[in-house]
Amino acid sequence: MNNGRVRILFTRLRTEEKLLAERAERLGVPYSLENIRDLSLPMDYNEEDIFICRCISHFQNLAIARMLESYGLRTINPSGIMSLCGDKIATSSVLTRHNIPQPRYRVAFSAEGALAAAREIGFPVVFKPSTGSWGRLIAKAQDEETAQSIIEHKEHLGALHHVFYIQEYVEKPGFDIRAFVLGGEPLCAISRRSAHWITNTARGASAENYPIDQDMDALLRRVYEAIPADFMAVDIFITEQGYLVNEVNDSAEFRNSIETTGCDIPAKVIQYAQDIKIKRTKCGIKKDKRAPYKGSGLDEHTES
Amino acid sequence: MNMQGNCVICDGNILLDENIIVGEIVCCPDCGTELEVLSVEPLELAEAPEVEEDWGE
Repeated sequence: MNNGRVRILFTRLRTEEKLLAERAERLGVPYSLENIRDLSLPMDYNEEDIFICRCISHFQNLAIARMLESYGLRTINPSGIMSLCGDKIATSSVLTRHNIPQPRYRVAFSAEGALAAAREIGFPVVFKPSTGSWGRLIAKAQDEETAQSIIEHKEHLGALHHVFYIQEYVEKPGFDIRAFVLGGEPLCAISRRSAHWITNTARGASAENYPIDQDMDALLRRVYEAIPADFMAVDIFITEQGYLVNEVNDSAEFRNSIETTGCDIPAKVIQYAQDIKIKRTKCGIKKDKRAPYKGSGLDEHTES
Repeated sequence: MNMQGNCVICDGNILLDENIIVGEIVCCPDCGTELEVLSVEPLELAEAPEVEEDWGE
């Protein structure tokens, strides 16, 4: 008998978490929607539970996934995937290792090193915090003077900003692409159009359906091989040379992509979680023995 | 039936959907403050936490 639930964990309730709960209700999937902000771990669980970790804070999400995995439980996404996607340097390094096309980038550790890296790439360049989202604190440097100012500001921010991630500025045709992948299968994609060079929908970009062509489908499958997330959103630039993977998001927001694409993303995520839960129960897998880093590209660097 | 609450910052009236859930964020129509629903019965609102450096996707 399957007693487990699909447990949707959050710390700030976004539209996405509500949609996941709504779809679970509609599909008749046993679920709970849980605000874990005031929780202290360990928490109560049933071995057959599946956890969809949707905390708005990357580090809190990572912490709860790691704790749940330590009890042998299955989380969506696994913590190893969160580690990779929550750190742009980790993401880029794994994409590099798998020869997946991405904008040119450099990593530096000092003001001098960052400036040299920016010169090497060629202006304009984009400075990105290694951890962050929604386009926050991303800065474009048109020239050396601007780069110096940005670097100086970063030096006065916290330690996270003292590892400089500098990316080539890619001229976009007014939009970029966000594609969703579930269990390795490309689901749908949107274009994000904005007059601003930052095209996050969280920053007001408008979304339209973008049919996934053969090249993009193949690229998304390669990204999945490199970063085998249960659910991810891959941000892609279109260039004359082809697609470039800009970022990979492990806790993707999808509210603007459901009606736009006609793909019921939350229903598919819930069904996917339920399928994993049933499979685990049928196979008698009570504990998830999988190393959280396995297959994520980090396994070769993980100390035992 | 909608519920009614008051903004903890400006005391403005806020209409809340009957399906509101604890943890949800609502925006005060008068002052724009983001408010978090701490409890539904009785209705309790508090100023929502500010966006942090690692928030997002």
